[in-house]
Amino acid sequence: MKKENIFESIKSIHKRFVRLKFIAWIFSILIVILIIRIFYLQIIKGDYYNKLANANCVNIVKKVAPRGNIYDRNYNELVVNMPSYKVEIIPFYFFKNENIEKAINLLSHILDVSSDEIKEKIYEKKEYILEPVTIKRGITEKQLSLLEEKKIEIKGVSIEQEPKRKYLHNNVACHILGYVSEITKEQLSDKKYSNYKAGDIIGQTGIERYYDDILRGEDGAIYILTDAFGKQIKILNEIKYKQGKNLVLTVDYRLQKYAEKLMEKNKFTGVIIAEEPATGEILCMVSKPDYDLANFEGNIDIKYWKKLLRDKNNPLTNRAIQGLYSPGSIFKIVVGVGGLNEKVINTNDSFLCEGIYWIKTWPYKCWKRSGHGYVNFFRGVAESCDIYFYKLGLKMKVELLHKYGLMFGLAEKTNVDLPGEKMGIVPSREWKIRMSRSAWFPGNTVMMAIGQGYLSATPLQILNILNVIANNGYAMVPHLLKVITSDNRRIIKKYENSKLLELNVDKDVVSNMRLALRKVVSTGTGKKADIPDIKVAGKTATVENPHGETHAMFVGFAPYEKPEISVFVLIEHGGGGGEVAAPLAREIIEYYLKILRK
Amino acid sequence: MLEHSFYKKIIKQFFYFDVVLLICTFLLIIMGIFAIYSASSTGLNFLFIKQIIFYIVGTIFLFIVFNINYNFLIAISNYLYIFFIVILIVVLIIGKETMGAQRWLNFGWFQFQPSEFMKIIVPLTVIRFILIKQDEAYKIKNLLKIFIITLIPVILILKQPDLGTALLLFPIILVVLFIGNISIKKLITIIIVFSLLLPTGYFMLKDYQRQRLQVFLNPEIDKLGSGYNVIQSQIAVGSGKLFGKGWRLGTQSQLNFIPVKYTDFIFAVIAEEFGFFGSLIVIIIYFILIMECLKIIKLCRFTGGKMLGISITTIIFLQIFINIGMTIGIMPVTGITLPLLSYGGTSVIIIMISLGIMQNIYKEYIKAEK
Repeated sequence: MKKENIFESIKSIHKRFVRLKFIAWIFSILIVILIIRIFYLQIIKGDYYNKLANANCVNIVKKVAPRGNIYDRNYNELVVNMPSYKVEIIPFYFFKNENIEKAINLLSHILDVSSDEIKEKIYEKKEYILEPVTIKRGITEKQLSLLEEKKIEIKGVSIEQEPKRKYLHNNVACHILGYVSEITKEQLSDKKYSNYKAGDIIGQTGIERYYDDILRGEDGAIYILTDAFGKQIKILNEIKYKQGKNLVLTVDYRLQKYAEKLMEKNKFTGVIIAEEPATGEILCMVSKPDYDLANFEGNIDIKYWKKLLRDKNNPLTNRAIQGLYSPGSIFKIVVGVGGLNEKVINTNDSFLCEGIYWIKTWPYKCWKRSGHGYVNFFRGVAESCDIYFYKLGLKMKVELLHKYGLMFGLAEKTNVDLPGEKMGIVPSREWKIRMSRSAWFPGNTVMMAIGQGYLSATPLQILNILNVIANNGYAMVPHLLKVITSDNRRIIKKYENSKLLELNVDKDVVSNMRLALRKVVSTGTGKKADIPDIKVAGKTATVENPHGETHAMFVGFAPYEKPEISVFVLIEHGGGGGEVAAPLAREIIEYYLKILRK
Repeated sequence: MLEHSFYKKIIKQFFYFDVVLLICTFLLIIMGIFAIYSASSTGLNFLFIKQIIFYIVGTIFLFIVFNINYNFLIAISNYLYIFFIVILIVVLIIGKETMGAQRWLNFGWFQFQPSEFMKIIVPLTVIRFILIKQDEAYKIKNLLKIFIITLIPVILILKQPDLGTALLLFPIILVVLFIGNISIKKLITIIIVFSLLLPTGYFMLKDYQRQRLQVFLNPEIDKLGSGYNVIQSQIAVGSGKLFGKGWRLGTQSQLNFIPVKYTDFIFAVIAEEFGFFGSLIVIIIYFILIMECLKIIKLCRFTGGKMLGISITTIIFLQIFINIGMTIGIMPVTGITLPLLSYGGTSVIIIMISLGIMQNIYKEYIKAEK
């Protein structure tokens, strides 16, 4: 009996001991779980939480750097900055409003932003509830005063000053200058824009886009230590902004405006480019129709923007670098140089033009229905005889046409300092087979020889063809930037002119073509571009196109001996190049050489 | 001569102390002083002074309880039980409304929180009951009685409402039964019955308590309300990284981003300012303390002492686990304090009394050995 009792008691003590051990293990395991979790928070995710902690208590007030101004070549202001106000919300304090719905509605009413948009912007921030969210930029005076009035009712709303872009000349040079806007979500997710942050202002087109890095400067910031109640404790750090650098363009505002007036006066759609052939400096670049940059200051006017997008004439397109046209008879410069250089012809060889040329059963007409009779090289170019070039083209074959087309820089970017430049096409046998799975016909060669058919190029490329001849064999990279300056007009950097291409042909081939181009204006199709005391050389083109009336085109340079300006004029559906485009080119050249250069 | 013998007596007392437990206790108090000083450095300095007074009072209580045989406490537990039930009812009637909870009796500068005492008194009463019933203790009828002994204060505490403390009582009693050698079969049955009752309990909760549970499961649903506490304390802990931001340099704690930082979220202050290194030291000290308590329980030869010891150890452990757990986002936010580190008179005194009982259990063992 007693023995049993002792045995029972020992058993019971042992049981208790085992159970105590079990509890010790459970406690130990739970302690280890705590340690693992703390390790995870502090060591593995430490940097993440540290960032959140800083976002909590460090209020960063961004000081947006003003963008650099843009001037024309004579330091006339084209784009400057002016103060504007933006509305920001700090979600953390905004949520302390007793009636959030009411606060949102009030804001939406004053700012004319939909309440959904406001909500979306606030909730997007996730953990960063103490970072300000921009609700609207560039608010009006009236909105400003209304907001100031209601500021007590709506907690967490602040109004910050920031510089806004001011475009001084509305439509003038809009395609060159371009506009800015807040960086879009698509851009933010693009690696190309990795050094931009949400809410940054970024150039979207034109010079604003191309030279954004130079223009935008470096934003400054004030770091303020703030407690949980929004009270400012102290300023931790202040980084001054660095203003963007100013750009001086090669554009002459007066010439630009003059050219735009010429187009507007006649309600023309098309392009005018003027360039200094020796340097590649673009003096003016007009593309019509255009748009009014005043609608792009601060917030982009949505209604206006939608109207632009709907417009079938694509006013947003810079036709000078994005429009693709057949070069038409201007391509004859390329064919002529090729023919002479490859010794397919010499300047005295003549072809008979009867007004029509048959390839098997297909008729190919000359623009002069009655025919030119016997035509040599100079007359062929001067009077732009199509049949002369049909025959020359057929002798050269497509391979040589292709070779010289490329030699003149077609189907290749001109590297002009504007975004979105197109390249165009110089067709070849292989190209046609690849594109349409049919063989190259002699008819294709014929059309190519007069710059029609598959051939396409941008106005700037077409102007370059002329520049090569004007410069006796080379072309410069066309450009809009002249110098980069700091605030006090101190020159920081000059644009370095460089050659875009150099022809590998005999010197006298080019001088013969130069002579022929002079004859175009003095006696041929371009007579209307002639100015009594200035020798102008050039080439007309009347470009067939599937959309209706022919495009009128003219390229010319002057003075003949030492060219100071080369001009490209394109009037879409304007009719004959010699009739419509040449007079405009004359006016530009005359205005520039007689008035502006004096 | 008289004086001499008096000092001798006091010095002699120290031989009966468990030194490891005592060192841990005072290390925690020192850390508590630093933590509370940091947490109250922004204009709340009187809290720091009060906390030091609580530590002193707590230490006195520790020595007093150390000299009371724990069996005596068990013997008078039924009176204590009735006394505190009455007080709980009084609290319900006249208690001061603080932060949505009526859990304090206001004595001027000191707010007395009787529910804290229930964490010791309920186990004491249950232990007394089990010791009286001896072998018959675990019959269904008696188990039901134990349940009722526990349930009455739980309901009263829930009414206050103090969900954390109320729910803490059940696991403590379960562990007491476990060490009281209840059969595993019965223990599992009890646990199953409880888990079946749990959903009904959920619907009896107050709205804000239910919300707290939901926010615990997904803090993002209420970023600026209850979830704010959870997120902010995790940010504070995480941003401490390896070595912390330095004493009184924690941005989150000093700039008031951590809610009730000196009581419920004191660990976040320590973790932010002393980093993983500091957190680890705190947890290791707690671990040594818990293990030392378990060692004392192992040494104790009496069932009553073992059960009392385990109930105290479990209380301390659960408070540590739940409080730190909620700071680092693995436990729901309840008003449970961190033993000896959190600010609060009742909390400090209760823990010191508990540790005094623990020391007494050790003392009785040493005496018996001799």
